[in-house]
Amino acid sequence: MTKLLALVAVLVCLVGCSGGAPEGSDPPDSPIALPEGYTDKPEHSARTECRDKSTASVDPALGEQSDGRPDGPTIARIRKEGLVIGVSQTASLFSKRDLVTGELAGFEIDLADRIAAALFPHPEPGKPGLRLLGLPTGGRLGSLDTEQNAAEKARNTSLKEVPRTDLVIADVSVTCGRVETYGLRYSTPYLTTNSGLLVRKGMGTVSGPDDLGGRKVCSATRTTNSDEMIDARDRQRQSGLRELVPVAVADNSDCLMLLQRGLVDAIYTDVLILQGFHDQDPGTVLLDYHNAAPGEVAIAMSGKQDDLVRFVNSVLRDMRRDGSLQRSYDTWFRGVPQNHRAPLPAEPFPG
Amino acid sequence: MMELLAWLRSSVRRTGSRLVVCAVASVGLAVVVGVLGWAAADHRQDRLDDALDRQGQLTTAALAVYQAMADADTSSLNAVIVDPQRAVELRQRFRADVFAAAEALRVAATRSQDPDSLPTKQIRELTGMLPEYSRLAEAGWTNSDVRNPVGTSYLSAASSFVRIRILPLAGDLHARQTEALIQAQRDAGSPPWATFVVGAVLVVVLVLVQRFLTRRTRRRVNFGLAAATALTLVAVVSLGVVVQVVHGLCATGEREWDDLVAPLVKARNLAREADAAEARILIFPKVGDIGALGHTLDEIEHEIDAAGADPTATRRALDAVRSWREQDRRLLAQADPATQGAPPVFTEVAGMIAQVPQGQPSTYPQQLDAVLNDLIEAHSAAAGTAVRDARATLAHWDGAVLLLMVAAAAAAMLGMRPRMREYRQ
Repeated sequence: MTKLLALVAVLVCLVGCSGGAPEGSDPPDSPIALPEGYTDKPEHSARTECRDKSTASVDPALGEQSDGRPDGPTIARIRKEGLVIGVSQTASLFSKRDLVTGELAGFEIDLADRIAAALFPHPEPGKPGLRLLGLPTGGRLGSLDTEQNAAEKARNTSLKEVPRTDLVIADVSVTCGRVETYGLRYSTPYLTTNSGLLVRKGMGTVSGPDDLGGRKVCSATRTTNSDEMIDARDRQRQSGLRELVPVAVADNSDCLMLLQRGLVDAIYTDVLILQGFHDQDPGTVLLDYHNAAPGEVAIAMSGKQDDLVRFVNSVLRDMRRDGSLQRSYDTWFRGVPQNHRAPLPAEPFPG
Repeated sequence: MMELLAWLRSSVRRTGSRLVVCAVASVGLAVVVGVLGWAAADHRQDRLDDALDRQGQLTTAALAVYQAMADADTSSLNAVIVDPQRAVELRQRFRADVFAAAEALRVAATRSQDPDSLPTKQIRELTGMLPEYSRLAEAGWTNSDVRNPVGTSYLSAASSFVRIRILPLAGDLHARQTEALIQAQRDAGSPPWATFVVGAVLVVVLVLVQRFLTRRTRRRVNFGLAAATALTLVAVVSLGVVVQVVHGLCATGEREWDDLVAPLVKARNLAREADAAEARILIFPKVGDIGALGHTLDEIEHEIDAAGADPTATRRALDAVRSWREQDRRLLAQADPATQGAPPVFTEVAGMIAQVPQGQPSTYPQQLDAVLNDLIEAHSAAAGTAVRDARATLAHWDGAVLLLMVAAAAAAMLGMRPRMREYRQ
């Protein structure tokens, strides 16, 4: 009897004292690191009605001239203190930085170099010249010296550290909203672009947004591309089609990372950027699809620095005339399929 | 019922019966005091063992996880802005850091055995995050090697994964373990009130019994009861003194943890975060990063000052922070439009971050890290020594108290036995 009781006690202890390890040691869900700013509920950017000619630039032939170039107080200051241009560091083909050497290269860097060469025709060692700055995400156009940006910096102290730039050359689409929000003025456009779709190879028969029902499509936050995908989803919803899932990230390049990791199924943005993504990952396919209304890209400057705008426009006019703009475009975007290539914008001020 | 009460009343009135009651009360209380004293000393020994062994190692492991992952974040980012030779070294350091974190988590897991406890869940969660983190950093390097800008996105995602999810979780695990460690030390140094109270009652009872016997037997002193009283006083007072000494040692340990190790660990962690923040400002700048870096450097200085550690080491640490700030002056000046000059370009900021200043053995963040690590190690060791001393002080006192009180019970019994015999006859 005693032995039986002891055996029961041992069995009870084994069952009761085992600590329930199996329940406690269930493997946790595999964690997924998403980029900062990722959202699968993106919001539409503010719509701004265009006032008449609000995005129009300035004729370089107007105003003060010196040595055949527009001149003025901003030009004088830049020649004295140096030219600061805000650029992207991660836009392959447009402006890409070698992180080890710090050197930048791309279509937009060619533009920056040409403007600097016109401003400083005889550079002297030790004198301020061209400074190319990688701008913080969220502060790109806030770097321009405008009243709207100054007011915003007064409201949001973290923006105070956004460096002041004279120009922003960073694939800036021409929109009325930005003119209103940042008080900027655009140069004459230097690129015409379409938005397109990039998917992984072997994804099946996908030819446009309507074939992406139930799939995640990535764009940069609060861009016209993100707005278009939100509109496409709403349209699909109204038509009773299976909806695509728009997701947004702070930086376009994050979309490629998410595509490679299988966390999104397609990227919708400027086809020239998509070509840069495809060059980085040949396992992707740039679809033939592109949006109906092409957009224009220009250099952004402060709206109160007309002399600088005129100066930059004069350089762009020269680049169009001597063919260097086209040559640079052909060099950097040679891999872009012909159907995605749009002719460079014509000179609006032929003079 | 009435008859039973009447019988009890008549029994209590008899001296022999009163002596039996006194003997039972004295012996019983002596046993209770012995058991309480034994339990009090034993519990305090357990708490100190816990502080020294399980909690101590878990706390150290949790801190190691935080440090290793903060270091890994810095190495992963610096590895893409330096020349290939240094990049290889930094990548090896990164892998060693992640391995160190995994090892620390393995140690922590063996020390945290309750599968449903919060530390166990946190350890499991942290362990699960390491592969994802490593994958992102390695993918970032692979892409950066072939000049693919998407490498920056991988590194950015890895860095924010560490900063937003891994480090706060590791920090919380460390904070909770430190709290548990300090609580264990406080418990060990708390006065054994129950033993004191019952011990005092026993002494009063023994004195009253002594008075009763003196009156009834006209013998001035009952040596058995006197010995029992003395033994009780020795047991209770010595236990109180020992616990007070333990309290003092534990308070020293607590002060080391709270006033020195905690601020130094915070300063060290902030310094690692600031080091990584510099690289982030260079590779994927975000609005607010520069201002945050300036505030972090201020906070590091404040924490080092607040710790008030060894003056020579403190001065070296403060010198390193101030030199670091001076080196970053042009970058930090961007946070305020009033001080903004020409913004530093990529190569200038890269020089501030990665280059060893002329005449210096290492970068200022590395110098600061070395000083703080030495200080943290020294004060953690001092805290450990205090707890070990406390444990040594308390050693065997559980058995000693029990033994003394068994002797007190025996002495009381021996002292009263002849008198009880007398009155039974």
